[in-house]
Amino acid sequence: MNPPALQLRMLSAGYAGPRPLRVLHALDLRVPRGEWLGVLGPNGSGKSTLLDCLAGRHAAEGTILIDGVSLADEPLRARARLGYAVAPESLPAVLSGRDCLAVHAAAHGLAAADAQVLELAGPLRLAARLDDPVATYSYGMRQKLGVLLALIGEPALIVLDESFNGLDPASSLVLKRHLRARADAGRCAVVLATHALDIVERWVDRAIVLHAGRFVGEWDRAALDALRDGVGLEVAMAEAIGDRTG
Amino acid sequence: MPTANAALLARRLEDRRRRRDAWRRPFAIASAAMLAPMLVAAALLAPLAGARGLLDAALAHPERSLGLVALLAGLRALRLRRLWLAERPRSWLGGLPIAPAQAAQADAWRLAGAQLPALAAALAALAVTSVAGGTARGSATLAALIGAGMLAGSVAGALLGRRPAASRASRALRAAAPSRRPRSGWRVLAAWPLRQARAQADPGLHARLFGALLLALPIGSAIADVIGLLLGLAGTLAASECLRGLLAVLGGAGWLRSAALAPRRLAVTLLAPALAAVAGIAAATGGLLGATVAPGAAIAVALGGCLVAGGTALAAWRLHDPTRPVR
Repeated sequence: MNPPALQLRMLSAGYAGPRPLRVLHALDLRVPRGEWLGVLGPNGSGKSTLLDCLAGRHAAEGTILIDGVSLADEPLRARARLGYAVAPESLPAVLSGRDCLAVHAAAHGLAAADAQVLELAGPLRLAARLDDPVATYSYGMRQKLGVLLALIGEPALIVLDESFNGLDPASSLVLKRHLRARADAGRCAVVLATHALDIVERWVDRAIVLHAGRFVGEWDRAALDALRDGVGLEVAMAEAIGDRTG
Repeated sequence: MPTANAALLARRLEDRRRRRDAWRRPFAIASAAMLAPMLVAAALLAPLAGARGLLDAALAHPERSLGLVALLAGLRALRLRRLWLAERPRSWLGGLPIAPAQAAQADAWRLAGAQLPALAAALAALAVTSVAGGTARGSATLAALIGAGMLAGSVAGALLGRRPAASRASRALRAAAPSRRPRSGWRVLAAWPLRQARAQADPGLHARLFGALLLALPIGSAIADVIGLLLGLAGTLAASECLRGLLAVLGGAGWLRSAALAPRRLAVTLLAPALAAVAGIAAATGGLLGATVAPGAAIAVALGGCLVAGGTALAAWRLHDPTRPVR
């Protein structure tokens, strides 16, 4: 039996300093391959910190298993099974998009980025600009490049933090279809933190709500369909975090 | 009583401020490292006979000196105006509900203020010379050289300044643009610091510094001395630009934090080429300077510069290490 793409046990994390702050509180989570999970929550609820922990970017207590490999014990092996969409503002300005792809391919032990990833750059309208410096890219183009980096090396877990922000509708649709197809083929699991409720209502398999560092709500596909036809996810989310807006 | 979200926001802002301060620290160390070569250069400059001649000439013809100062001020004013015209369309003040004249005036003051660091650097150089060289005459000579250098740089800037100043960054990026040949990721990483150095180098500043030294020729300085100083300046600038590029790359290596890159290989790949370039430049410059000026001082400056550059780079790596999670 294949291990889940992601498994969290008692995950806690925070920020050190003179006044340490605990942001995540003993979270448990299991995401099998083939599932697209949406992570919802108000600003400052811990979504980005959670995703940073999953990607090994932020120190955490507890257990994080990526495709059955412990991130703490074998960080390189675990990261090789992970694709994290780099934030647009942190991409290196003087390198080209193709250079960035080459660096992430090298991290996966590949001579170049996968052909499928390069092919996806076409419908995302990025292929013609891949040889230009990232400094000349718009915000949306950087966002697309960040997602392409996450897809290199056939990762078992794809982690996206607000990665649809700034994308034009056509590119957004291309990307959603691509991720859906990858998940449906059982090639990976997708974890997406977002405020775009339309994506959650139509594309994900399961949604969880994070509030003050704890999971306070969860809906599967059937429940999401019911919410879409009923009161709506927006109201359900407000109820879940105990902040009914009427 | 702040809410949990407000407390988190405050914590994140504080954390960001702390990281930004920490990011500046290596640059402060690098700047301090540049002080040592400056001291040596000042000591070498002090006994130049031609410099004393310049001072005597300036004192003998005060009207010419005043004319020189007026010309310098006028050209600096022209440069400021050019900068202002280039930046005005992009000014964020344009979106505020204030009169256009008020916004324009605020922009002009802001740009004028941005010129102050150059003046501060000139004053700092004077102070260094006073400490090292020991005579008011030496300080005044250096002040005249710096002023004349700024004049030469401003003339060059005015002649070349038909394009808006804002396009300089994009020109630099095009200069540093990668080749279209596909390269392995490790080779990309190895070339990244030097490419960053090329992109962020400021040719205008370099031209003004070189202009200051070239003016030593017509006042009767020995050509060997001038060549030695030019070599020393070129080497110092090239090495410091390499180091600045490397530090900027290490500060911006966060995008690699989730990638499965082997820590030791990543450190060697990022650090080694840039540090090798610094060492090579220091060795070449030290060798050439040693042959013309003072062998002992040249070797000491070259070795000291290499050690400081290496220490700064390692400290920056420890601070920003992209292979370790942030706490």
